[in-house]
Formats: sequence, structure tokens, C-alpha cells
Amino acid sequence: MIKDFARSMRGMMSKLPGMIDCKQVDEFLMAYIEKELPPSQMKVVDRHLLICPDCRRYIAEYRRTLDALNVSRLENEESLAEVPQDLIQAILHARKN
Amino acid sequence: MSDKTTVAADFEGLVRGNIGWMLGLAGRILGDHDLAKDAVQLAFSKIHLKIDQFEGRSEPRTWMHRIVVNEALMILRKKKRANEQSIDHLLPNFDSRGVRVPASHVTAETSETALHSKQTTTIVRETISELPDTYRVVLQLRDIEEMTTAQVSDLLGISEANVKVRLHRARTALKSLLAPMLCDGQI
Repeated sequence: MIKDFARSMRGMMSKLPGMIDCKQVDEFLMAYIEKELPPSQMKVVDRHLLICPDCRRYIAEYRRTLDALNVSRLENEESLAEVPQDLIQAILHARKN
Repeated sequence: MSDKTTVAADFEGLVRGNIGWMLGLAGRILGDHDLAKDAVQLAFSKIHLKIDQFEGRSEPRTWMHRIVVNEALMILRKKKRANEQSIDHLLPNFDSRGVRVPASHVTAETSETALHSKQTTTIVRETISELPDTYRVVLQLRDIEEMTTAQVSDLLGISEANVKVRLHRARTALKSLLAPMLCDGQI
């Protein structure tokens, strides 16, 4: 009940001048996180985040997903796939032919 | 000795020195070890044929990276698109006022979970493989292989705007799939 009221309030506040709703935040999300938005639009998203805990949580999760991807990428750099010797021989054999 | 001469002189050394990362790369794009071997074999036959055209303007690894990615993408295009299910259920929901409808798994805003690299890598890799090819490949090329939007656009023959849309949807879907593990602190 309280949550519904809070969401209803957020819905109304997002219609005020200079504000955007959660759906619009989602459209800007990637550019916002990669800091590719102009400063004025960064501020508009920041203003929305001040009033919206759901979007703050969502963005926190999105950032943690990117962190996990980053960890995975670094791990990929360190580990080489096991090399099948028969594949090497096939490649070298094909070259000779 | 120039890069071009060095590359051409020792083909066997070139194969042995690069096959590991090339297999890993092709495997991540194709999600299949046998297909990855095919891609690498085809890539080396291209490298052998084109080695005289390698002008040393870039690092040999950069040149070979592009060739193996191209071969992997060619194989992917030939594959039946059995893995092209919708990811709409993994994308965010909004009510009629444009207000976000929170997902059932809710993590703390400032959760500080240590990212254990091995475990995280295993979970992330397995989860990425669940994504449809259309989204998985863009995510791999941009976020794992660190290619630019322009490079991915060029390789896949789609617009940069389309690359960005697919990447955002792929990251969002991955976030939804990882949410239970993020919530439990597994990653």
C-alpha cells in the first residue's frame, strides 16, 4: 500500500518540468553509465535517481553486471584454451598440401 | 626483419604461438568447442593464403584476431538459428505511468560483494551462453573482446545504433539472469 503510494507519487513527480520517468531513464541508461550524455542530460537522470530507489537499485545491479563482465574479461586474458595437438597437425598438414 | 617477413618465415611458430587465444576467442563467439576448432582451422588457412598481403601496418595479432572473428561469424551465420528465442521477459517492466516495476530479486543499492574471479568468470560465461546469438555475439565482441561500436558494426554489417540497442538489451538480459547470483553474493 505504502509502496504503491510512493510509486504513484514518483509517477506524478516525473511529469514535472525537468524530470523524466523510469522508462526514459532506461532509454538513457547505457549512455548515462558510460558518461556519454551531455552534462544537462546527466543532471536530468541524476534528478530522477534522487527520487527513485527502484532505478537506483536497478543501476547498481547493472553496474555490478558490468563489473562481473570485466572480471570475466580479465580472466579470459590470463587463461588460454587447451590446445589440441591434432588440430595443430591438421593445420600444418593442410598448409603443406 | 619486418613484421611481414617474420610472420611469413615461421608458420608453425605462428600456429603454436597463437592457436590458444584464437581457440578461446572462437569458442566464446560460437559457444561450441568443435565449431571453434573449425573456425581456427579456416582462419589459419586464410592467414596462410593472405600472409603475403599482411603489410605490417598493424600487429600480427590484431590482423589474426580479425580473421578468426570473421571466420567464427561466418560459421555462426550458417548455423540454424535455433537459439533465437525472445529475451523480452528479461527486460525491465514499466507501468502505464512509466514507473519501473521492480523485479522479484532485489539487491541492495550499495552491496559490496567481492568478485571472486574464477567463480565469477564461470558463472558469467555460462550465463552469457544462455543468451540468443543475436545478443550474445554483440556482448562478447564489445564487452569481452573490447571492440569498439564501429568495429562491431562493421563486422556484423549492422548500424552502430543497432549495435548499441543490442548491447543494451544483452547487458540488461544478462543482468536479469545474474540477479539471483548477485542477490546471493555468489558473484
